[in-house]
Amino acid sequence: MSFFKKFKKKQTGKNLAENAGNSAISCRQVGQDLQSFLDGESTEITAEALAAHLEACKDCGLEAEVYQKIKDALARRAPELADDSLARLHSFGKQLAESGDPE
Amino acid sequence: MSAAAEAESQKRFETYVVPETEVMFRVAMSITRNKADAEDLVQDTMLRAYRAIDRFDGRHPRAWLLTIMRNAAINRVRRKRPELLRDPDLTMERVANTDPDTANVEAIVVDTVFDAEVERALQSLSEKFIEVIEMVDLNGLSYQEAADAIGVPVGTVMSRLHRARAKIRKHLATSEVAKGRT
Ligand SMILES: [Zn+2]
Repeated sequence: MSFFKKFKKKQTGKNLAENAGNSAISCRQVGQDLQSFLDGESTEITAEALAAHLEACKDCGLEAEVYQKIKDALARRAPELADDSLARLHSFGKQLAESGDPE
Repeated sequence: MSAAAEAESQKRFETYVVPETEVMFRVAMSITRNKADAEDLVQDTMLRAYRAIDRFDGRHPRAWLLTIMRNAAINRVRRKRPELLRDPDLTMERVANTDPDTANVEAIVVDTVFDAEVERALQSLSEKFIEVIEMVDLNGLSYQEAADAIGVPVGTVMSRLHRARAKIRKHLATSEVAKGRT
């Protein structure tokens, strides 16, 4: 399963389990910070501590996986963007960039 | 405006605004729920951006544009939202149209069931929760950008978003789909 690959990427080389053992972060704290982390909105320090915890703690790891799947499902709802609209908007923008304000 | 100033505005517009066209259109679709209105809103936003671009400091163009878009949207008549959400059956259609040679059909079917359950959970949420989910998960905005687009503090975006997903997660835990899978 490739799910943890992106967490591992954020690691800086330390042994994961050892890192989790040393970190002060608790399961409760993970619960609070997990969503920001998955959204890429954590600070680097928090992200590292979280990634280590998720790798070492099965319960939190599964919880992270569920939230990631929810995020993925929500992202899949994206409707196909109307190509004709986008094309018109692109040429509208281009025209502004080339000829300036029509008024 | 002098010719030189005009040329500078055009250059800045090309640099800061044009690359954001698709994101602006996505957010506009979330706001208006309607292709024609979304297109109008983006054009309106582009014009306003063009006229203000000499005062823009060049930092965080997307956040700047979304703030302009929000103000433009406020000035428009907000339509009633007849069809708030997409029909989950559409996802089934997508599965039917997927080439079996290039896609893992089984995985897509499992995803589809999961997606339909997430969709159902989402539909039970109020509009302010759906709004943040669309801004972040669907349109790919950062918390700050979503806050600018909606016009609320970042903390409000965070709490709404996290609560919304927690509600969906709770729904999944009690539904059939979550049983036997993680
Ligand atoms: Zn834990």
